[in-house]
Amino acid sequence: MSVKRRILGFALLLLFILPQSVGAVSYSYNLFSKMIGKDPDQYDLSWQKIFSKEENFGQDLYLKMYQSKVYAPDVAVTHEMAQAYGLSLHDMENVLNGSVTPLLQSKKYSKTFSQDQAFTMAYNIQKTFSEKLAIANLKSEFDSQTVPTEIFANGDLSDSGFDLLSDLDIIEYYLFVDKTPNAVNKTLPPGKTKPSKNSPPKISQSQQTSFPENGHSRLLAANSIFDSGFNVIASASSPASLTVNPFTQQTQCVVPNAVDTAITNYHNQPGNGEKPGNKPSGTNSLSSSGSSGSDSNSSGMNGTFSNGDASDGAPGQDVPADSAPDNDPFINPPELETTPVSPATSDFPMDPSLCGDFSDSTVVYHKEFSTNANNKAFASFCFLISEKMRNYSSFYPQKPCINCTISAMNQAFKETVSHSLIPSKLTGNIFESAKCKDGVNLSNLLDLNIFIVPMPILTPPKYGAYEGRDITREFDLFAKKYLPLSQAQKDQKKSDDPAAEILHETEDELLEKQATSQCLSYGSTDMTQVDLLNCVNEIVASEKGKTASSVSEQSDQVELQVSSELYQPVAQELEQMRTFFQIFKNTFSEIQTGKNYCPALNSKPVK
Amino acid sequence: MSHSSGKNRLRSPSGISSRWVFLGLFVGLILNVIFFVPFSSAEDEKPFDPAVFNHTDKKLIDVSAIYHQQMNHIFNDSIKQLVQLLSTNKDLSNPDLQKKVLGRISVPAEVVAKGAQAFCAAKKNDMNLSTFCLALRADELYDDYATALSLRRDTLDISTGIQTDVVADNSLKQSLVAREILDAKKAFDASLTAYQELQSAFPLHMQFEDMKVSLIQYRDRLVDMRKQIDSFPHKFINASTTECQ
Repeated sequence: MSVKRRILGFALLLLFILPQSVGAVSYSYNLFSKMIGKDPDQYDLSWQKIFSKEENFGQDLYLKMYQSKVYAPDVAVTHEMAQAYGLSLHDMENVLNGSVTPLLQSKKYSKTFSQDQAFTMAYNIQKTFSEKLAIANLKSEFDSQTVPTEIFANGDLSDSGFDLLSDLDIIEYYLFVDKTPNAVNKTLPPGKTKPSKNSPPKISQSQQTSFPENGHSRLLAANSIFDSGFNVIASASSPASLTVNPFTQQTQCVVPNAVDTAITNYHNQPGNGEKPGNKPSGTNSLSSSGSSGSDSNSSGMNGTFSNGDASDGAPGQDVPADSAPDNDPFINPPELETTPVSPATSDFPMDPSLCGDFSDSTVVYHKEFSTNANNKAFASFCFLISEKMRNYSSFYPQKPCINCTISAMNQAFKETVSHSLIPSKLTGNIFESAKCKDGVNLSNLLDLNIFIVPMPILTPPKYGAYEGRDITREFDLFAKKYLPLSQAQKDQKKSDDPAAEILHETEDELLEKQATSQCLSYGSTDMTQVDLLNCVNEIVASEKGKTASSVSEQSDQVELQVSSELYQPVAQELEQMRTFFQIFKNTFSEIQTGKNYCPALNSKPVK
Repeated sequence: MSHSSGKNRLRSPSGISSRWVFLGLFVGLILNVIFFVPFSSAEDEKPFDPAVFNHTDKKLIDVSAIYHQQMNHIFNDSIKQLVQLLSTNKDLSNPDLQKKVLGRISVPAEVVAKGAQAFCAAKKNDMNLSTFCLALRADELYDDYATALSLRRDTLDISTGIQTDVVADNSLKQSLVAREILDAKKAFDASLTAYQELQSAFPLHMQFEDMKVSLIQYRDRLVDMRKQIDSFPHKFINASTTECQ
């Protein structure tokens, strides 16, 4: 290797190994640290923090803007790269400036890196940095144009702490639950941004299950007693549930095993008219579409609780529902006597153990039914008494929204009011409605609707100070109030000097003339042309300054007025409706207790 | 101790020596100062002196940190008063309140014409909170800062005091100073824009917050009323009566 090459190589090495001076990035990082008095990495200067606490609302906004606009993006990218490569910010900056010294001196790389590898790595770092910086600069450029002007109305809470679009989203949620997707920007779901502590409790599906099955079970059981000559045990208890046979569309009573066992035990009891082993066939024996018991001469019923003999009918055989609609126990339940026969007068054994596993929780009734003098039927019932409590309502607000509640109420009132009361009683006056007038009035008052009037979000004055107003009227007001030469003066001038109107003098020309006149009137007699010119310019500048300031003031005033015009009617309406609701609630309460309103209504029969 | 008990010694009527009386008064005065004299607030502190930008013992990073902290202080003062003003005067449909709010966030034309320096000066509780006045207050500081940096660009020490291997050349110094002046202007401009946005959006936000509370109350009362209605039967039979006209 020649001496020249050695010298050149040494010089290059020196160039890259010599310590570098402080760079702009390091300086920015250190300055920001000094500014906030802490390590920027450990200092929370998020928007949430700035706008979270009421007492410090908006504090350190300047520091945040400095961080957003100045501290980023090159500092952020350099810092990110430094962390990724395990170097200090200063070392990374030196690497980016072309030095490989930090890499060769780094404990992480020095043992494994040759000089060539260090150069290669430095090249890769610089290349990656350039790509990241280009993206960061682009983002910063976009942000600088949009963020400051839309920071509180871009639908993003993460960059501001409060956001008008998010506010509207939450309001929409309170009104309709279902929120229209925001087209402006992605927003947090309303449930996350503002959990509703006061939401009405949601009613689960299980809670809303209708409960007539108990009644149906009773009917099935009652129907079964007309199985001639046999005492049967049926379940009127809640464990039974109704299902529909998909093939026959017949309603079946599915009986739990415990009930079935109790029935079997009963049949196995001596003297119960049941041959041992000849027991009902479980669930099938309960399949019921049995005939009514009105026909006392029937030798046996096709009912559920037959003796199990197929010849007596068709135990377990389904009968089409439309074949005997009058016998449908759901439509024409048999009339039953409900007074139990005392055990002393009954020749029927009363043994609680007959109810098997239900012995502890059942009441056993023995009934004697007489369909005529020659035919008697006996039945034993095991009633499993269980209590299921739930509030009854024709409407459960599944979704805690105002519109949902109002829609349901409108529907309920519509159904209630649509029921004619006329056939039962007339008021006696021709054409007068027989409906309770208070009720009619209430229903009309509660015919609520919500109207949504889309209004624009107020934007800074650069988008128009008179948004949402009559632009012609506003401009006329503006011209009269704030033009340098007032409209009144112009009008006066028009009337005095018609020629001025023909000349179509501009505002500036009129203003200059007025200023000249003023200067000549009040100026000293030895005023030079230069003095006069200065005087005129001063007056013109002053008037224009006033105009600019007045426009700004008017803009602020318009914003405040429009803001109030948007909010106040809604707030008043809400307050009025809240008062109405309270009055309605009290009125209904007093009607119910019969205190003041319509006490007669309280004693009326209801359905 | 004998001479101290001489006849010239002053004694209080209760027999306590005057030395102890004076000592007690002195201690009481100190305690009074400590416990009853309020600490000076930020507004009571002596006004910021921009001459600090020209102190030769201050490095560039010191001067810059002082400037940005002071700017942050100026913005914080205005924002604090603005938030307080808008929070306590929500009903802007009230002409009196509207006038009051407007008087704080706008600048009369005649004031601008005459020069608004005095009008926009920082005050403890009732300074003008318009963006114009805030810009005027902050611009004064920025001008002092930019001027000082420009004058000292050749002599400023740009070492950070944190890095050990700082060897500053003149071109880097010039570059850093120029960049700092530009950065300060960018931060100032962006902060003013954000302040203007805050001034516009915050009243609306306050109204939206009120509306949310109103809607929750509205919904809950509606549900309460609905529950009351639930206790009525679904249908009345023969309910016509003349008793509830």
